[in-house]
Amino acid sequence: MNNSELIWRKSAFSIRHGFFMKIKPIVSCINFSVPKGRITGLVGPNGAGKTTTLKLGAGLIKPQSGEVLIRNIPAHQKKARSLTGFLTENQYAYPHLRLKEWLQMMAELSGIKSKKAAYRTLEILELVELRSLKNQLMQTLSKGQLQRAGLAQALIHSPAILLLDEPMSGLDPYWRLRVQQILLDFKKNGGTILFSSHILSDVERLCDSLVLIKNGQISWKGEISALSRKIKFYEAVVSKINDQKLIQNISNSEIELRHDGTWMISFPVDKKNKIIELASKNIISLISLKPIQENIEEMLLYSITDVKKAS
Amino acid sequence: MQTIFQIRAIAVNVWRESIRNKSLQILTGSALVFLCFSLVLGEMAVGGRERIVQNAAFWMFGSWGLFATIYLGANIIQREYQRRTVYLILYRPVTRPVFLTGKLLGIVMVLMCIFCSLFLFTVLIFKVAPVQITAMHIMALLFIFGEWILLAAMSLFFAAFTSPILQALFMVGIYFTSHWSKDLYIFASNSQDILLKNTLNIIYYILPNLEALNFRGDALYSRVVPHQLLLEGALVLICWTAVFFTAANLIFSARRGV
Repeated sequence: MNNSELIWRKSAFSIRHGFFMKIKPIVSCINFSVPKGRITGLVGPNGAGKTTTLKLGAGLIKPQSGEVLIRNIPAHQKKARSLTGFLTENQYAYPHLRLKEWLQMMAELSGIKSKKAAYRTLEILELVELRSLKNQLMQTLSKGQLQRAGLAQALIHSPAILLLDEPMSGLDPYWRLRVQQILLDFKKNGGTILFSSHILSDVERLCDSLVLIKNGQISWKGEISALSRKIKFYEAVVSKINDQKLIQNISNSEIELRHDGTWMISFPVDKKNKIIELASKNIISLISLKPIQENIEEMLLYSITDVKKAS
Repeated sequence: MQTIFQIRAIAVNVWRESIRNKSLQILTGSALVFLCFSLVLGEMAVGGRERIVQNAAFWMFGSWGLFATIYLGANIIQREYQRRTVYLILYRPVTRPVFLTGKLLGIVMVLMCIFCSLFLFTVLIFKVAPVQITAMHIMALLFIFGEWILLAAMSLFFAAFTSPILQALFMVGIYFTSHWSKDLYIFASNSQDILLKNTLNIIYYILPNLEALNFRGDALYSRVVPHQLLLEGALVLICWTAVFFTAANLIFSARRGV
């Protein structure tokens, strides 16, 4: 707990809506921390409260109960806010400002002096490869370019902590990889990241730990490596099949003839010993046998739909 | 010192964003067209052409100030919320009073640009009319600009808690009622109905007396205005601007979230 940069302690936030201003809880009793120098992923279905959790961390909203701390300072306080960089899911920019002007303003608002802000703007534009567009009005930028500009504004003041809401949204495959690289470099330099994403393969690739949020509450949190993955089925590659019918009965799909003349057989987990037995009896010539595990999407889908709770 | 840099950064960018805005350019352009039209009106009218041109110019300054402040107030604060651009400012170490001060200064800078272009064009039109520009004309126009600043603070106040439509309605309502507040007071004095008398008196005291800033008639008829009246006008202007701006800050700071 001591090296935690960000702490949500029993934090709750609700809004009032409708004619009778009924209270609608958005998140309740959020309890987790983000350790220094690590990347934590925040995942959950739409409307689960991911963005609200990030906004609480960015100090944009105050929790109605509990607290959100950045280095033990309440997140909404000015001192805490100078430590964070925040990226929203959609980029909300001023349409009539030039990219350079917008970023320079953001740098100055973060306390960087005018001259240094101008230099830092060019430096950060170089990083996100938008330097050639520096004089373009924000309204003329594409969604992907705006997303990169958004990342630039989050990094311009060299924050210690990054809070990112869907950072890969609207990016092409090249830029998804580049952003991953930028985030890993940020982590390598001691930075702390909390980010939400729907692209779970990105979460798996980048994160050290994971927080699963559902209906405004945390349903699971822990290390990515601690997620126990179920084996869905086995895949065997064989070079010879002496009893095609027997194998067909064991397999849970069609036996597939591969271009190199070998066969691919997939079969249920409980038939693994049977396959090994057949190989030992020389009914098949086994080249390889590998378990196919659940991917992160499936694990979280089960968890979200309550079919299965991630352990 | 950091606060001053932050206010400057917000104000400069409000100004940049607004002067590139086509709607505001059209609004200013239409005022110039209206000023030209006042020359034609002067030809058609029975009274003196100079008086018509001056009247039209003063009316245009008053009305266009109201339009511009309503538009800027709605555009600058409400659209910050709608577009959520406010998120990227307020997650930084920027306090809400700093944010609003930057916005107000930015609006004042935009209004100053509009005012200067209208003023220069008015000078040109007065030359054509021809109307002799006196010190009282300048004084009346300065107080009109003061009224624009007061309206900008009022606009920020309403933008802090209402929708753009309600803000526009409140602004127009208060603008006209405030210009008639003296009549309300006289009507209240003459009224026999206690309830009506008290209601009108309350309205008179809770609304700014914008007529205290109106020296257009004096400029038109070249009347000398006592210094005391000018001082009272300046006091009304400063106090009400401070009241609206402080109230806008209190409401905006009390908002739980963005």
